[in-house]
Amino acid sequence: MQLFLWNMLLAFIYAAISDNFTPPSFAFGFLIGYVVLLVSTRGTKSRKYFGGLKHLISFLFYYLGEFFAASLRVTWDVISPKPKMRPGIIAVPMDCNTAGEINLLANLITLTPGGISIEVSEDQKTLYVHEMYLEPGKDPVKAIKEGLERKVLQVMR
Amino acid sequence: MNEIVSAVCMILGTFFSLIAAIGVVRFPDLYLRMAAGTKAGTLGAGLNLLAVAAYYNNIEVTTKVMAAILFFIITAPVGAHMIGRAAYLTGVKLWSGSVRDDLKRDLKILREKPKS
Repeated sequence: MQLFLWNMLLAFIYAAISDNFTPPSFAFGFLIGYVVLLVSTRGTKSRKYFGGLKHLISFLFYYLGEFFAASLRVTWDVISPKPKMRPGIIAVPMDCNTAGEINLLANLITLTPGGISIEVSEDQKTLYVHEMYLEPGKDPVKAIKEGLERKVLQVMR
Repeated sequence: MNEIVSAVCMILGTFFSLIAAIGVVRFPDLYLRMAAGTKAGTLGAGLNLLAVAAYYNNIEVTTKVMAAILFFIITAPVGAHMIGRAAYLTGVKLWSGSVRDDLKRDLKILREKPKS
């Protein structure tokens, strides 16, 4: 976290002293700051930030892909004369422990089209999700656990 | 160039907003309607905001747009979750075509168990 703030500061300084304070120059400053921190913290303990950023970027791309795929699917069902949905509520046992992890997972599921998290059980171990497409052959619980939840835990831990 | 990007974002954004509106009218029960409304609505509003940022292309507008999109993404799922939870617990029925309801099963177990 501290390294992230340092990185932001370096990006800010870079953008401020280069003549044009625009989003691209800020992004470029962030990149330079990242490389500088990567080199200058060699041998110290605070290396977790760099692995975390890699996970975060892979997670962002994964999530955006899922989001657009699901949006197109819902869009098609709205337009098509005979919608092919098989909705239902499924119980997903969670590996997430802390409130932050549960919060993030539930909100991300709600944000993808086709899924709404309805309820968290009282012992905070089960998440109830209303899914729009439950195909007969596939296990929707497994899909959430191995897709979104695994990625969330990679980022948070 | 900026105007082309802006126009494409705006057209896609209004398209998704329209889809959301049609979905709210067409879908059979509350949960599916929310699924169509909240998500496609977020996408539509987000794309329209991006269109504004691409058109003006300066830091003041861009930071405001980023903040607005961030707040959309934070607040929309919380609202949807609370409405869905309240609806289920006050007994709004699922659509007759629904294939599975694990929550009903688990709530029944909880209610039959004596309170300790």
